[in-house]
Amino acid sequence: MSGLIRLYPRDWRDRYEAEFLGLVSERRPSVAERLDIIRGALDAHLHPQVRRNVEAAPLSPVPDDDVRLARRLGIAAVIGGAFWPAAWGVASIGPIQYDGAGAYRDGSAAMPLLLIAIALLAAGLLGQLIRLPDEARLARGSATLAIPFLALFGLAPWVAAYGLVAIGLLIVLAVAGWRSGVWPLAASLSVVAACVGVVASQPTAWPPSQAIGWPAEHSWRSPRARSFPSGLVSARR
Amino acid sequence: MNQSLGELGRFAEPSLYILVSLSAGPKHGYAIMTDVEEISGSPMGPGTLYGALARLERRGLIEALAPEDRRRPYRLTALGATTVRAQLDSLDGFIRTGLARLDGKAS
Repeated sequence: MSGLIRLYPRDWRDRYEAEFLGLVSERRPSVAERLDIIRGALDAHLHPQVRRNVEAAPLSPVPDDDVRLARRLGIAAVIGGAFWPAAWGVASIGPIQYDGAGAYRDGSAAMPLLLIAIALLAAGLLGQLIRLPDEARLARGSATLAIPFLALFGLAPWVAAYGLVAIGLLIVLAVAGWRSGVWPLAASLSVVAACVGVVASQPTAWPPSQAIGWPAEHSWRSPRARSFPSGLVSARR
Repeated sequence: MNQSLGELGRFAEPSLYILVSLSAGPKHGYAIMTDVEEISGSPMGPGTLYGALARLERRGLIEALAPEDRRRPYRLTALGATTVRAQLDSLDGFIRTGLARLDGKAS
């Protein structure tokens, strides 16, 4: 039951957690009651009734200047998030090239857009490292790891595994950021939806054996392929 | 002066049950749950209970008392008592009208 209570916002838990746990300890909650608790947690996020006592507990231990800087970097990341699908769009209409192993789509024209997207997303991740409190270890760790994986994906976009790991880490960051009470639910859901959307929009990236770009994929070894042939996976015809 | 519970949306009905339950005196969460189940005939989940309690407390219709172990009793405020009375009076008028129409009396 302590797992379900963590679905509630931090402010709500500060006010009601002890008595709520006392209540549910009186009898084992049924499945319906567990669902009711989950629904209640969603409501507590969407319609918060508990306001933090600012004097007793400051809104954030992070200095205001840092929060402002992180917010600006977050806006940069949102813009970067818009560049990403734009890069995919450009890559998907690149010319078909032929080599000894067959044909592939040359998406090198999308490289500048992809690099801009990755740079802006990395800036947003740095902002999270500034903003997130030390206690949010999982969220901070995810942001820290996502930066090099994004950079690797920028340098070698034909190795889809880098991109998939980075996207996975962004999802973990969004969920852990929400659970730490720093990220609003709407922001977390938006990031998760965007990440899932990016992966889902690449049907050729599945199954994963293709997506991770093993050496059997000729395109990633091809000299021409190194100029960003296809993004998450080579689009061989 | 009283407040309408209509603005509480899906929590309006559970809130009225809670106010009626607390009309008999202060109760903690579990006691409210069991009492509401007796009054209404259907159980109230913990998420709904605390969603309604938080709304009632924020609007000053109930207030929390000092906790006893992990239990925290709640009681009606004066505004809460006025509000629940007005709600019940309104329901009483509605019921009388409905019954009168069923019995064929003009109203």
